[in-house]
Amino acid sequence: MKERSPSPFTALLRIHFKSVFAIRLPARKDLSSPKVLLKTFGWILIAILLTADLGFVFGMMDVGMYRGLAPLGMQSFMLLNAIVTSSVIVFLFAFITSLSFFSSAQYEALFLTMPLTPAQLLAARMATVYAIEAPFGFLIMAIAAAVYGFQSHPGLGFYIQIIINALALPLVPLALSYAIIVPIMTASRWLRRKNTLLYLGGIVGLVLALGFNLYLQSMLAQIQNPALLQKMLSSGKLNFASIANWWPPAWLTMRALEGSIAATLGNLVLGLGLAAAVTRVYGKPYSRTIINFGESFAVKGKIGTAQENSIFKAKSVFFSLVRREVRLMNREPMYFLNGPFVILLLPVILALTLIARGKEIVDALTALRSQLAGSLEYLIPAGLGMFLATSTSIACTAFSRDAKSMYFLKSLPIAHRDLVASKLTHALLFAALGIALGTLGGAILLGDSLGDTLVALLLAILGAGMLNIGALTLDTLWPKLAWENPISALKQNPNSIIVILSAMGLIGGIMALAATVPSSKYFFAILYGTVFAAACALLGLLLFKTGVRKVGQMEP
Amino acid sequence: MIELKNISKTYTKSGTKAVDNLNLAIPDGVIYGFLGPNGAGKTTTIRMMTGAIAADSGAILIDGIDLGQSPLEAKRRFGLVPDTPDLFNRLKAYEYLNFVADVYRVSTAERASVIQKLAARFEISDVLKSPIGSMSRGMRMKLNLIASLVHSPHNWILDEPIVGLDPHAAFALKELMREHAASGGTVFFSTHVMEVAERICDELAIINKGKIIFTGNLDALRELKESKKARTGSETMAHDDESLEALFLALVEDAGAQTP
Repeated sequence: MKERSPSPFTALLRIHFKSVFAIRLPARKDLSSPKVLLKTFGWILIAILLTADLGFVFGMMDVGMYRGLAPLGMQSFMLLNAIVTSSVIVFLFAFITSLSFFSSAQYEALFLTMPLTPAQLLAARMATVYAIEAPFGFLIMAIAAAVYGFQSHPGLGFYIQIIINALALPLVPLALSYAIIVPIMTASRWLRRKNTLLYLGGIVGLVLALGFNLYLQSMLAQIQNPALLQKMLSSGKLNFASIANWWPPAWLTMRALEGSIAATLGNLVLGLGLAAAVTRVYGKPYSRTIINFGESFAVKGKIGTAQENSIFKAKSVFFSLVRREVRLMNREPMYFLNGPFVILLLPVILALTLIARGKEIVDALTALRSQLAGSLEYLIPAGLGMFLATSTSIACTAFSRDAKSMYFLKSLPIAHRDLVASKLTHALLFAALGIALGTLGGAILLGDSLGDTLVALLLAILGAGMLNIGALTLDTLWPKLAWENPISALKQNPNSIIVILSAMGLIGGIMALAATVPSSKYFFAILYGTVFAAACALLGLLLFKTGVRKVGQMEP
Repeated sequence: MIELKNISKTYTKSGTKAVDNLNLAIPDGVIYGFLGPNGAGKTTTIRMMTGAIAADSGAILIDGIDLGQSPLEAKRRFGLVPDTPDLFNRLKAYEYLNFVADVYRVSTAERASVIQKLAARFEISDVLKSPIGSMSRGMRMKLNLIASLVHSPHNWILDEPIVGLDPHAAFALKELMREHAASGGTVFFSTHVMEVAERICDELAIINKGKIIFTGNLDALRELKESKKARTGSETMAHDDESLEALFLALVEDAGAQTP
């Protein structure tokens, strides 16, 4: 019997799905290796933690809202909130994901040489984005359904309706994302650059994430005060209620959850119809954007004799190595946004939280100040500085990021010790910035004395030094030298996750120990200072002995 | 002069023996071609020669300096053109050249002179201020050629240098290689195209499956071709023409057949 081959569209869809969801499960025989086992366990743990974290935040919000509204008989507004939240989150995800997919437009343009129409090309891309964003929206709806179901015991029809509508809800945000992005991308060559997209995606993502954080914080503040929630609901001042009024999928879903099959059908027709219309209308413009994506032109301009001395000025090998590290990190958007930029991002998130829940936090800080009599006065700012100084992932990915150029670097007359030292210097330069912002900022917020601030600074320097030396040692001994794109070298690098979790664990641990063990005020400063200094020396020895030898053995 | 003495390399992860007891002596004043099909061990050999990976056994001498014993001193004696031009795409061209010049401790005046001269020769003077990522593959290759010569090395090692170059730049490169050899320097370049080697090199080595299967000059290769033709008849040669390319393929296939 002749085997039937899949249609070109199905084949395209398959390749998109395979490249996006390229999760390789280890073979049974590989699980006997402790390294593979640990790695697999780590990834599973992270996936569970992330899902549980999201589930907890939304679950608590739903429970709080249900309890606040049930006395008024308005508990179904909790479902409306979930519908609106799900739609907004899905829209944010769809927008950022579809924007980021333009980065691979050059490869996608190859598909245009195949028997595929522009509409099919866009439809396949949209289906891929749907597969990424829909689970998030579905999770939010599922949590709300579980909370509502547990409390109100609705019939089976409610669950069937919520499943169908949860799957239909992401379609309109997805179609709108492409309806907005494609005309913008067609309009300007400047936008069709990978760099522009990475920065734009990073900044848009950041703004949206901060906006979402602000929304969550304000919702949590309202939920903690049921009287305020009821008052706002009855006066029509709740954000989600007003969004639902002009967002057809939201009120269609609400009608559907009340039992209307016509509303469910309406939701499906609206979502699928709009998505189909977008693929028809924007198929050709989309194909033009991917054909012209990434056109780059070298800037013309000779170096004149007058400029030679300044442009070609000789520098020391070490200075040149450090400068190379800084430039390569800061100029690669993926590295910069997930690295040094984090030092600025975390204080911004903190400031926004302060704005959203200002009074509560000021009250909490005042209460905290009055209770802080002892080592926590300097340990909290020190911990903040240590965390920011480690959050850049500079040290723990230093050799991984250099994987592609390691062959060439090792052919140059550079002492491996100098290479390691330049990478450590790079990490410590940004750690200093993190300490300045975290520790000084923390000390100001807590109203620390000058003496305590200085102690905090000293501890932060020693702690951050220890963490950064440790992180670089880790990446020197076990670098990730095989990767396809920069994000794998940094964000998806197990070393980043190990270091950030270790830093969080360590900082939490030292605080907990100091809070529970009675002692004189500066006992923990001396204890931790001595331990950190000793660890710096020991790890430094390991880095410059074993680590340097390991650099020589790296096989790029 | 570059000497490779009994070097071997087995990749621990895959267990592949990439280079097997290889011996080569690349004299001064010649253009030495290093030929082999894909996966023959050319790049592994060059990576060992340049100190990027360590040989399991044997010794590598650059102008008599043992690379294993005095790596920095040995590395200062050569310039390398790697096979991939995509090294530091986020740097501007002149920043990259400065970095390399700093590493080789080249003075401001000397680097300015060498860079400007070579940039003019390869016609990339007007893009030195551009980010490397915005340059075409050919331009990036030319930039790597300049970087490899910024410290005026005695030994010039080039890994697949012709790939991606336009005919004009390829001609300029060949001229430069000839000048380098004529001034007493060593030029060692790898290629998998016999035609390229035939047009450029004075001497060559052919490697297959990690072993050297031929060393000598082009005349020796032609003699081998004649003797092979006389011994077996041209109709038994693997490929139906009498070019050195056909002989190269026949040699590779013979060596492949003899390897267990």
